[in-house]
Amino acid sequence: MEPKTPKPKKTGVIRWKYALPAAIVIGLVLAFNYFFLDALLKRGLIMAGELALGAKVEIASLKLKWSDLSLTVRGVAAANKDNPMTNLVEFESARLAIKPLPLLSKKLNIEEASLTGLRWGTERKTSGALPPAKQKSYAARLAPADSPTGKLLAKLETQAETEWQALPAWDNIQKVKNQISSLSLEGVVKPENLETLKQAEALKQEAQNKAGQYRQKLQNLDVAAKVQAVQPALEELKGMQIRSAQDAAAAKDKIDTAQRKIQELQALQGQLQQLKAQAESDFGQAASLTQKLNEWKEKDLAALSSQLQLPSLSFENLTRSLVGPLWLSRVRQFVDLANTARRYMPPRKEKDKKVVQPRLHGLDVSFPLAQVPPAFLIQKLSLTGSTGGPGKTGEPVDFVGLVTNITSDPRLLGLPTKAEIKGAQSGRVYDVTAVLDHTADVPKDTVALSAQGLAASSLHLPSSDYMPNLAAGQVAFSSRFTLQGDELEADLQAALSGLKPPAAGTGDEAKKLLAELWQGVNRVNLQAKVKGRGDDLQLSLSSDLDRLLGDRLKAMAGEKLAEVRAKLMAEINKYAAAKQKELLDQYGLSKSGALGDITSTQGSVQDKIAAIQKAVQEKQAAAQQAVDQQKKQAEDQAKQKAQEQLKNLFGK
Amino acid sequence: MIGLRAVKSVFTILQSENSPMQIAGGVAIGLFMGFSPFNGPQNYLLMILLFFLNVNVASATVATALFSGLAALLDPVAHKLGFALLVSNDSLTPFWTALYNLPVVPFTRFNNTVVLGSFVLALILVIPVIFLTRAFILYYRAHWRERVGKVGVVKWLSGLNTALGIKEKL
Repeated sequence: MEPKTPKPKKTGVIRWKYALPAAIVIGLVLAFNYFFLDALLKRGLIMAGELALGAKVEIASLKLKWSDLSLTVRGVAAANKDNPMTNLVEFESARLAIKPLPLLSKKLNIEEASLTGLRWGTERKTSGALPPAKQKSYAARLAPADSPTGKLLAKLETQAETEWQALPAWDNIQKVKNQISSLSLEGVVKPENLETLKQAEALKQEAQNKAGQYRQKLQNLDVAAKVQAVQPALEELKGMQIRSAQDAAAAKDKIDTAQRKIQELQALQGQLQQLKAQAESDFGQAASLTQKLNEWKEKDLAALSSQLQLPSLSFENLTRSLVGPLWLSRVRQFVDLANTARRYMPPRKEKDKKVVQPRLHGLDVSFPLAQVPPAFLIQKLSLTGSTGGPGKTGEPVDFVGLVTNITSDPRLLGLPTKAEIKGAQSGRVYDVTAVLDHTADVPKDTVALSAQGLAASSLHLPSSDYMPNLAAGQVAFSSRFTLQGDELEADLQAALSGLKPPAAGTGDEAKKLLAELWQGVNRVNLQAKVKGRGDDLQLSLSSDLDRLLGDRLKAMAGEKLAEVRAKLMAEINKYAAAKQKELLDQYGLSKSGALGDITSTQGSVQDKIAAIQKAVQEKQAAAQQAVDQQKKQAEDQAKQKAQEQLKNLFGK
Repeated sequence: MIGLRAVKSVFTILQSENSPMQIAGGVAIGLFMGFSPFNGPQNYLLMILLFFLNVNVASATVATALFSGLAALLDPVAHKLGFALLVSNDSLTPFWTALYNLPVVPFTRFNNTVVLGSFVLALILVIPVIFLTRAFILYYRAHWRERVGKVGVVKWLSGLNTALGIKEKL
């Protein structure tokens, strides 16, 4: 028998019997939303805030009032992701009056909002760091590392680290006095280690060698033999008797030979002269030896100073290392702010009909419509607050401010977001102006800050032993940050005044030195600038701090350092003096010996030349006389012959 | 215990007297609920439909759980589909713009690529799911119902209902 399949019950499409339970369920859902919406909203705001800021966000209470559709949030604190033990920002309460109609279109439009008790940089009792999973979500939303902003942020971070590492160690400077005062020079200068003595010995040896070399060169010229070789010709010339023209004719060859010998000797004389000049040049002057020795003494002094670890007094990097990281961290904060603003208030081109925003799942695409308000808009946000708070130093300044046109679609609104915050109290002035203009194709974010009469400690300069106690000091600064597209420009002018040297204390040499260092320095001027893009960022920092501290420390420690150096030099001189005398004596002997030999040889050659020349002249004169005499005799004979012929002619 | 209840629900649905179309309708609503954001207004609307339409609630509940898991797995596909419709296709922009600026509609988060893509996937799947479910129920009831009813586990599961009921009362 086939099993009987039960026939389905016939029912209508609508299940009226479920109407009541459905109404109850819907009612429960609505009731849940009514009673728990505040908690849900609070949770949503915390999550959104943490995702935007990358650090914990706390909200003490949140109340949505349905009667006037207002939202009141109290006790809000958002931690600083870079310094989790401080709050980036906190405020006591915020009240937002929400427009009801746009809400139906999921648009949060707020005509007026107020925020009270705004403070920043305040100390936290617990860490504001997010758990790793949330940090990962935050990191995924950051500007990609290869984007222009990502590159800019990475460059600022690495640059700040480099600047910080350049900070010279205070310990080195602290050693200045300690080292000098406890320095013992006994046994430090050892003659066998002095390069001056070794060099003096080498120079002495060199002088001796040179003298030997020139003697050898003189010998190689074989002057004595050459002079001796001339002697026979000279003797022969001297021994000649010239009485007649025939004798004169016979002497001519010998005179010519003698003159050739003279030329040979003169050539030899030339060689000697050349050798002498070379020797003079080679030996140089005694003064140059002294100069060389002095240079070696300086080198010995430097080596000994290094051996004793005498400190150098360079402060050229002080401003960069002290102020650089602080300045770059402020610039980085600004770029972070601009980046966050661009993420939540994205600039778009006029022609773009939709705006794409990444969300946890997928992308949210907005389809703005002209004449329809943006999805999020706060037209006016008035705020009050204070620069003080837990963990902050100096007298606080209360301020008031107004922020306008905070929107998710600045292009649609057509107006930039503007913020103006001003505070003045007992000579302390604080002024912040910000314009976040995302209405054009290229966004431009500008923040200008200026302050006067604020506590110098509020600058949060890195803790350094170089700095005096800033508690009594004041700071005035003016800075401007601009990020147009991905091009950054920021500058700072700051003056720290009223600085007082730290207490000298008793017994602590370091503190005494520090107090002495800052004595009389009560004002420091700083200038800083950053310009460029992520791949080409120019940083310049300058102040009179380097000069001030450098000069003062040199004045303080330089005198004592000079004393030590003088003592060391005296020790070096003591050992070097004898060696120097020995060297100069040897040098004098070698030089005069070599040159004397050459000069005396030159004299003997010259004597021989003179002797030959004299003999030649005598023989030439004798020959001339013989010729003249013979000529006269011939004339006389001719005259006599002529007279006799005339007599014979007329005597008849 | 939840797992046992789910298995029991499946057998209860299969062995019940509900019509195949009631069960298929419940599965269809469960499909949409599974592919929609949990707290979206569309889910509230679907819940209202679930209560008012004469469909099987248990099958909708089981289908919601099953399709929620499937939707999570298909998120990348849904994102691509949503991206194509919302971003790549400019001819649809006026339509989305009009929707975006209507009251209430933006609360559905239709302008999110994953949400819209999932909704479109659900639309694509709903007709086949209805017919396949109906066909499966008919086939099951014709060929397996008697045999399955005699299996010890199913009997035990049927008894579990009573046991759980007594335990809850205690």
